[in-house]
Amino acid sequence: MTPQIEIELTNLRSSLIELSNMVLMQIDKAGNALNNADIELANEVMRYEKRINGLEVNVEKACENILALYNPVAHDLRYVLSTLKINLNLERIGDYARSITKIVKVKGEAFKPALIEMFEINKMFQTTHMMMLTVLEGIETEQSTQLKGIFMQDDILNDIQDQSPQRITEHTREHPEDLGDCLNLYITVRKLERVGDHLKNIAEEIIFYKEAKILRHKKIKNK
Amino acid sequence: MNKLIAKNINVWYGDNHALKDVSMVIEPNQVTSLIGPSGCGKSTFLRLFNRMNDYIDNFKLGGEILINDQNIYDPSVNTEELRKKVGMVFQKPNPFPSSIYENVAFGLRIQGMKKKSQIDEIVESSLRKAVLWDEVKDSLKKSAYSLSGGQQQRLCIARTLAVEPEIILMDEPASALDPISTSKLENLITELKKNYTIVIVTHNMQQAGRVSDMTAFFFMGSLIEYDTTRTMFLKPQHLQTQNYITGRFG
Repeated sequence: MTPQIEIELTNLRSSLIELSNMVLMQIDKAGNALNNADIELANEVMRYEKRINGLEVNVEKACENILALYNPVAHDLRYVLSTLKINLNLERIGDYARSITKIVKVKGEAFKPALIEMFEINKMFQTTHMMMLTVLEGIETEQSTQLKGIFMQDDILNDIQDQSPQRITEHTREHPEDLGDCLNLYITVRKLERVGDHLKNIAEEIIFYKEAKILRHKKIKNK
Repeated sequence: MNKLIAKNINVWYGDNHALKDVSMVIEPNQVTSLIGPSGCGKSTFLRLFNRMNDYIDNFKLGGEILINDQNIYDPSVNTEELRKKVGMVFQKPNPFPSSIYENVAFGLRIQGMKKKSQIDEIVESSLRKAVLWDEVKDSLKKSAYSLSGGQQQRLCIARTLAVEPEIILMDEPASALDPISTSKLENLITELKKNYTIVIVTHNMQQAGRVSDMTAFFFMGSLIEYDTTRTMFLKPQHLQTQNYITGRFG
């Protein structure tokens, strides 16, 4: 007979996978909306955000329920603790997707391709997409081996963000009329960089669940 | 106070090999929980420390139990003296059919203590240590049976403490108690470990987590894993331990 806690944890896992898929879709849609100045798609992302928030609350309630009623220990406890944090990180990524679509709506038309290129926006979206897929696989398979690549991918996003101020300075020297767009795209870069941080946090939580190792605040070489 | 050491312990009840090559060091002034499914040998292991198994037919022991560096199964050991040093609290409170006072004084009188003032003093201090004094100080002459289950269990602990043991063995001491009495008993255990070494058998995983410093998991007569309680409940090394503490034991 399957213990009741196993049933609860299986349900929790399903909800977390559903939330991860929704968030992945939101980030992808935000990227498409930005690239194509697709206002309708941007509106769709904003509407969908409410569903993400609702699911996030449900996952939190399910965790609270398991903690209160089943007193989980060992890997069960780590799973619930990790899920609580992963849940919060996913919700935040959803918020960033929504913020990016706000920029799309405010701009109302496409950014110059050269600016998109300069800020490596598409590279950032591709990188976060790949990180998100890796995280999703980690959540689904509960394997931690492939997750360590996330930390290097996060470095790509960090580097792009670090280079952005210099790029803005140089570009606006010759094209001061692009300053507003540059700032909007820089905000997008910063949000995607934060998305990377949240995905890294999620990877750390999956590793904590599987290996009982706390990686937070440690340097990459130790991970 | 010295450690309790079990060296290569094997126990048979007739043909039943109840404990299989168990070796363990129990540190002084700590609470050590013994956990495992029914019939795994944990109570047999507990009762080795005050030689309670000696009364069981066909009991046969291999290996050594050392307390204060002395093998307590050495023929020269006086079991009465041993049981003064190693007290025991059972699953069901078992007060004697006498007054609260007499229950605690009983062991002292057996030891030949006659001076009333001295007995009074030890009865009070034992009841205080068992966190029962304030509840019974005005009714010491009343029957021990007038107390609640939780109070009776603390009275049994006071009775054990009166003869000044070094080690207290507890065999599922809270299994017959309500949550409030259980909570009082657990607080008491935590308080007592400052002066005593406590070994407790429990089926309540949360209780083992709450009160003990070390936890040992037994299965089918073998000691599967023995580690700090924190490690046992957060990241046990053996799958069998993990399956047992998470309730997935088939």
